[in-house]
Amino acid sequence: MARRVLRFRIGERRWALPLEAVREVLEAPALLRVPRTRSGVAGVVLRRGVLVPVYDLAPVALASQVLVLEWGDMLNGLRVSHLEAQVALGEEPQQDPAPPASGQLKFKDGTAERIDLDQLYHMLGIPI
Amino acid sequence: MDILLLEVASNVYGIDQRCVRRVIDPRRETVLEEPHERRASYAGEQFRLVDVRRDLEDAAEDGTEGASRAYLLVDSAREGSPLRYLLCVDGARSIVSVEGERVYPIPPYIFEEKTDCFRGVFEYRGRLQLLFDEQRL
Repeated sequence: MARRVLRFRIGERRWALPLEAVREVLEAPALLRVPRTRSGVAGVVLRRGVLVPVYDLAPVALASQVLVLEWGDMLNGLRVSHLEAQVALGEEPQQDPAPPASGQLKFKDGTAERIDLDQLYHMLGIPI
Repeated sequence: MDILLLEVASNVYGIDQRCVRRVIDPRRETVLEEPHERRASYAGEQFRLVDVRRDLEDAAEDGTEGASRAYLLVDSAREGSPLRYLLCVDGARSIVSVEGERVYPIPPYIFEEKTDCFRGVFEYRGRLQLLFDEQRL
């Protein structure tokens, strides 16, 4: 079965995360800014009784959506500029039928940086 | 829990109302600040001064520096260790009731360094607000 990824943009850069890592997508939620947080923390949002920290991978002028990411029982959010599509890897002719776990993915309309959740958490400094 | 809502810059914070002995209006009563010492005197007594604007908010960015001030005389004996200090904010608003289980803890890993001056976050009128931990300010 083809692995599915969620493709999105942060600024001009395009990324792809495994679809199973994304629990839900929030449309422009109101974030509470918390003083004294590490760089990259945009704020927190409340989802179903759980406080979810929301991160910026890069400065974004217009962040429209938040991906709520699930790792065990830990939820964290990632602000994105634009959610593009769910894609089944290996289905487009441009793609390697067995794409690597990380690196560039080719699509007919360009490329995306594929990252797994542990890589993303490492980049954001989230302990796992 | 009854929470006293506090204004600081453009944000609203909360503090457990039980620990607030007095809200001091500096237009009516004298508070002498020694900001470099982080102390202030009020009613003939010296207190540690916690200025939320200076210590937690970036007031310069907010552009509201110089707005009115209020002082809270905080007297807390939770966890057995009595604490008395003055908390400086822009204004004290109203008291709201929030059930204890509606105070949501903040994941500690989001802070730059160990920060425990917040008990958590509560929701008031559909907006999230920060609740101070009066023992750790």
